[in-house]
Amino acid sequence: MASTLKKIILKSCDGKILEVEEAVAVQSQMIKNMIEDDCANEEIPLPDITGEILSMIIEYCKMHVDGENNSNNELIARDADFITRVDLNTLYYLIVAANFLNVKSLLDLTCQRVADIIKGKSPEEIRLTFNIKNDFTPEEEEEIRKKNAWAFDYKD
Amino acid sequence: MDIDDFALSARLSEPYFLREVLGEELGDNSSIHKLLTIAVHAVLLESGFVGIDSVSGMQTDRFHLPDELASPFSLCYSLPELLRADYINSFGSSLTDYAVLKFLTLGQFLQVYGSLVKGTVLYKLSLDERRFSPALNLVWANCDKKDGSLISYTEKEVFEFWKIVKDGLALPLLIDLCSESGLALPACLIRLPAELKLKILESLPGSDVARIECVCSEMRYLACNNELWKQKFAEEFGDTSGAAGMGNWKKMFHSSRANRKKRIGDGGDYEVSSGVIPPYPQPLDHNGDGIPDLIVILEGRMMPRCWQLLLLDFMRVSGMTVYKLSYFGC
Repeated sequence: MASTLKKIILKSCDGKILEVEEAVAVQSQMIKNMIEDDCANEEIPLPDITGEILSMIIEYCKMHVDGENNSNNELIARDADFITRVDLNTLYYLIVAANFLNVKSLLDLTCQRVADIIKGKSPEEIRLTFNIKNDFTPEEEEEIRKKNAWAFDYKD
Repeated sequence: MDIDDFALSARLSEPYFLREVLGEELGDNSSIHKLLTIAVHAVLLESGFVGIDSVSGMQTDRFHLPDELASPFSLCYSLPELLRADYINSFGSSLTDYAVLKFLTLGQFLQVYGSLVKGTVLYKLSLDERRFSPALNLVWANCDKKDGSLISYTEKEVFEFWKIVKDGLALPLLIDLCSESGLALPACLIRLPAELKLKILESLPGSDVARIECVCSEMRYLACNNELWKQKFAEEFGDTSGAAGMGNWKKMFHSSRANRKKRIGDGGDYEVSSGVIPPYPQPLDHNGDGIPDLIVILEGRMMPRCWQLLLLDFMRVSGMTVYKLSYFGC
């Protein structure tokens, strides 16, 4: 059997069908497990993952399979190019989907991207960026600020 | 298929969408202001908003804007769910909240202010016409070609524009409007499962984790995790075996950091360990202000945004990249 040319059929929650080469699909540990258990012969329905997010994930996996022979730096540059284009909303869906499909390198990349966005920001800026409601009372907030004052030492 | 072709075909959705909206709204003699205004309008539509007439409160599919826009100029938006008859009936009136964008021209900048009519928070964007109009014009110029391929420069600028408007304006307004109206919130990082939030915290330096504690009670709970601080301690100070026992790792982190800081003088060259500067070919600029994000920890000291850094050298030391930097204030 020509296993490298075998196609895996994925179906997104909005009904989009995507045919993916097995070598690309197995970047997802979840799909890899399904193939090993011989459960991937029919189309695999993916609840909660839209066609748009799924094609981004396949784009990413394909980039990694095709780039196997590239230098590490090249891959890092491609990763950076891929992830810096993504807006926060899409980033959220990518994280959830990468986690579900268990694509470890993409999960690492997306979480690192969120961390990079948070890095160096004040609590107010973080709330604004991610639209997080401040649910502390003014007294509580002051106390926590005091306890963590050392982390606000931008200049010292 | 080449990787670049693949990436291009998979991610053309935003430029295509933009082209469609421009085709609907833009006239032949439109000003650059109008081009930019309609591009912002396209992002709002793509985020799920629908345009409404501010007088009647009814949905309007096209705004029919004049070629020269007044300054300031306003557009109103609501959500399809809020305009449905059953929603209006169950709340007794159609006087629900809606979002207003005000556009103001200041030289080459288009200022966009977004807020809810009944809200108190104002979101502000400043879009540089000289920066974005070439790419937007190219998208518009390709309007009649159904499969006209966009050069990658245009594509990149359109994505950048999209990201700035969506993250800075459309999403915050969407979240505000949804929570005011009792609708399910759109995707937002705070809704990630706790294990994934913790994973994000694991990628942050200790001082950022400490500041995250001050954001909200949920983040406070996650950022207090003792195991997390043990990891932070190990990252910054190496061995954790010396500080044995079931101590408070955050306290130990703080005191070790304070001790180390005493030993450092001012200015000069410093060595910075990995994870501090992202190993990207270009510095990132998250807020789009043109100033790269170069907040770095120099021997545990956070540098303010206004410091200029000069990369002198870098080397690999036992699996870590060590950057040698020089810095000076400006």
